[in-house]
Amino acid sequence: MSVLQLHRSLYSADAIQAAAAAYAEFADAITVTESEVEYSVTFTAPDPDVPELLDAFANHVLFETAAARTA
Amino acid sequence: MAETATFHYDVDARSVGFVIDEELYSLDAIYGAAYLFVDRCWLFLDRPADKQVQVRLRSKEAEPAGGTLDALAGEFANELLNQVLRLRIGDSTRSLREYTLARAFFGDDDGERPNIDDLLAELDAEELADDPLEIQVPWDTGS
Repeated sequence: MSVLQLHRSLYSADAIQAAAAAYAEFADAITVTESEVEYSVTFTAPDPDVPELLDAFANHVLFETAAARTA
Repeated sequence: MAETATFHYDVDARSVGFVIDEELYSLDAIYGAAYLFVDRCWLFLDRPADKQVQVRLRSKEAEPAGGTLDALAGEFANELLNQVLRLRIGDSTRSLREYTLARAFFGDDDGERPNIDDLLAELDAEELADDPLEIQVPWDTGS
């Protein structure tokens, strides 16, 4: 299990959901929980053939967040 | 005594990180720069304190060549400045752009709005009209 934490003031929830849908095939499950300051994205049984899954996921969320802000 | 501005960043084997003051660079400028770097490196943003954004750029290569990370940090900082300027120009010309767009959509002050048939007819007339000056144009020379 791997966990990625993203600050709420910098990443959008919609972008995280979009990324979770895009990367669904690379883990048994991708779940998102939120606290007052951050989102926690948990990857259950992430694909071992994709060692940089969390980095790619974070980039995807950042791209979606930035694109939505500048649209 | 001369003042100097230094760009502080920390580098490890595979990544470079720095803190950006949101009073100097807006979040939109940071996103604008980040947007242009997602294909070059792994980016991660965090907020170490209020009005501060920590940016970490991680190389997609396992062992980046010497100087690559320093250059990446410098290029990101330059792009931040570029984005700030772009946003300021966008803000300062917003009313002009809106006015121009409004004129394009809603016609002139005389209330007449040319329709698409009028515009096409006008274009055809221009294409068919003889050039009274007989100026040779490059696309008619056949060379």
